[in-house]
Amino acid sequence: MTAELNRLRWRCQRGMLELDHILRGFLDTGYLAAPPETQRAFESLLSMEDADILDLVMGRTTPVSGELVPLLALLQRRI
Amino acid sequence: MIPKRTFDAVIIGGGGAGLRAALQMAQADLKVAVISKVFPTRSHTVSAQGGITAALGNVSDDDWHWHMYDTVKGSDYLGDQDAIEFMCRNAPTAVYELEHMGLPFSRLDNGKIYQRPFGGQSQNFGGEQAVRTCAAADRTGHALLHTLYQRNIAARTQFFEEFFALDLIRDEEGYVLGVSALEIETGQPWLFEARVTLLATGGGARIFRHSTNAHINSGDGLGMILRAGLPLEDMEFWQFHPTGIPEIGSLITEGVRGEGGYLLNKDNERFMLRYAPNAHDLASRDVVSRAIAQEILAGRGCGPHGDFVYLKIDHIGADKIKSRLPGIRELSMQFAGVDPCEAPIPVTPTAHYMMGGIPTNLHAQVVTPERYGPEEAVPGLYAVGECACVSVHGANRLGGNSLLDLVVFGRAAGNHAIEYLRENTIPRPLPADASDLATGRLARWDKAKGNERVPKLRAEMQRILQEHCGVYRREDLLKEGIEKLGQVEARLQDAVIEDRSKMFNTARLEALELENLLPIARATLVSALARTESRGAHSREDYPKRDDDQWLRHTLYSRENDQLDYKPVRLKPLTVETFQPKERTY
Repeated sequence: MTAELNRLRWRCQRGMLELDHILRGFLDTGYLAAPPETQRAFESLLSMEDADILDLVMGRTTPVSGELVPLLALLQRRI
Repeated sequence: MIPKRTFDAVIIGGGGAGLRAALQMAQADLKVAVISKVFPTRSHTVSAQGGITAALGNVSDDDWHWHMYDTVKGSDYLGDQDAIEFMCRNAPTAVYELEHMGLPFSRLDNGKIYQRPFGGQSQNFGGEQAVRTCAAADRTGHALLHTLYQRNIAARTQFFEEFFALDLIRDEEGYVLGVSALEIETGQPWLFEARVTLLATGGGARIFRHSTNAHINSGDGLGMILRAGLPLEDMEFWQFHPTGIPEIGSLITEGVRGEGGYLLNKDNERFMLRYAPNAHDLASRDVVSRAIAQEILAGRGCGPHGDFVYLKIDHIGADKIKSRLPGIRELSMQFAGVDPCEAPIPVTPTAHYMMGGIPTNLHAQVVTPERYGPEEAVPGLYAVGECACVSVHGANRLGGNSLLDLVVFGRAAGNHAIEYLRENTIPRPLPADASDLATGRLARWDKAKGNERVPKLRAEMQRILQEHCGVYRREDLLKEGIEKLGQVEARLQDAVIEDRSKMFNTARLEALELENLLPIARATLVSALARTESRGAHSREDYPKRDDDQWLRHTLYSRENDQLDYKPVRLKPLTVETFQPKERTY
């Protein structure tokens, strides 16, 4: 689990400071307590481009995949 | 010896500078590797929202010579005028090249590339506001990265993603022969052998507590340079962006003021009218940052602690804000809790950009004082982008010139490297100790014993730099800062990481990053203490005037004994007359 969390922690390192705050914040304090489908959604979010993640978290765009919706609600509450 | 890969050129950093240089070389059928600690399209270039400056004249009359004047003046005359002419002359070509590669620039009604006004831009050598910054909505950096990445894939550049560069490989004659790097996924160190090594590792503004920079900006290339015994140039010059969101660091682009926004103090006074009677809120960034800092120091800051001012934009109307500055509106709502359509945004000066860096010439070759003069090229070594100091930004960078710097000098580096590779066809043998520095650093963290922890030491370094080397500097503060930083450096010897695993060991990476940040912090403090004048972003309370007689020169800092050398500013442009230093007013 440590290696897995470390992998996610490194992938939370982004080109945008705002995403560093949002993604690392969730990984450190919300990820382990989240249900497995939300954890999977987080991993899928991390594979996306920075500008697209920011658009989703800011609510400028709606996700194509429904599985991101509960995760985005969690991230938006955390900001 | 650790395992080895061989290329013609290895580029460290997958941001705009690295990708532009890589593309130039890959299109010449060279075998090019790009090593990047994150996926290239997640590099910090993605944060450059505002745009790229070029005198296209699509909105207002314009001329590259006016752009050059603004950049020289903006640099507070510390920028090298040959490099500035080279950049400004080549700007339109560089932008059209990006357009032809497919970068989706925003358009005017007549179909030409959209341009917006930015601070410090003028027509006719200091006249009316020029409109010079080309933009792809507020996603210019993102669009640039994607365009260059796709082109590199087509040109068969090889990407080594999630590899952390450790140290340069240099032989006894001073040739740079590649780099060692850590594969983050496995913990395996590698040697990347190449006749050309190019550093494009970005800036290091994470040395400060309040910074707009992403966490990956740990100045890795600068750390490598200092460990290789090479100097850094003008490290006292850090740009504080005037409008960062307090605490978070999130940047509110100058484009907001370009679209008509202005700053207010707690008395609702539009104070920039006093500090910059002509340019007002669109004065150069250092001028605006100092003005805000002055207002805060004078007790005219806003909020319960009086530690920020307001940026008002609601008067231009919600429709314009939503159409022209949508990203900024969202940022403000999410991170400052304010809808700029209805209320002003709280902002404060925040460390943003490193004007200094690795000394380079017009071809992006790394240069160092050696036997034959102050600017002798280090064979096989190049640097481009924020990590480099060519120096086009001098003591203060103008908005929109950073993306331009990346593409103009990325292309120039590629062109020169192609020639260098043609003349140096046979790889020189790697020295027997090629991997020793890197493996030694890794082993130190694997075996370390002690009670100190990396995150705590990093936080202390950031607090020291913020408090002792921020917008305003003073001799006693700087001396105290150097002393405190020395204590942090000493404690680093007792620092340990608890996680000794191999795969994605982020604790080890943070330790290696701190080994890069700390010497940058020292270079900054030492260089700032020595420069007893105020110029551009370097403001000394005890030396408030610019002193051209003594200080119209570049600082060169070397790690051994904190040695400082100086070299003259190149005042002679390539083809036009010198812009003689004058008092800088806006």
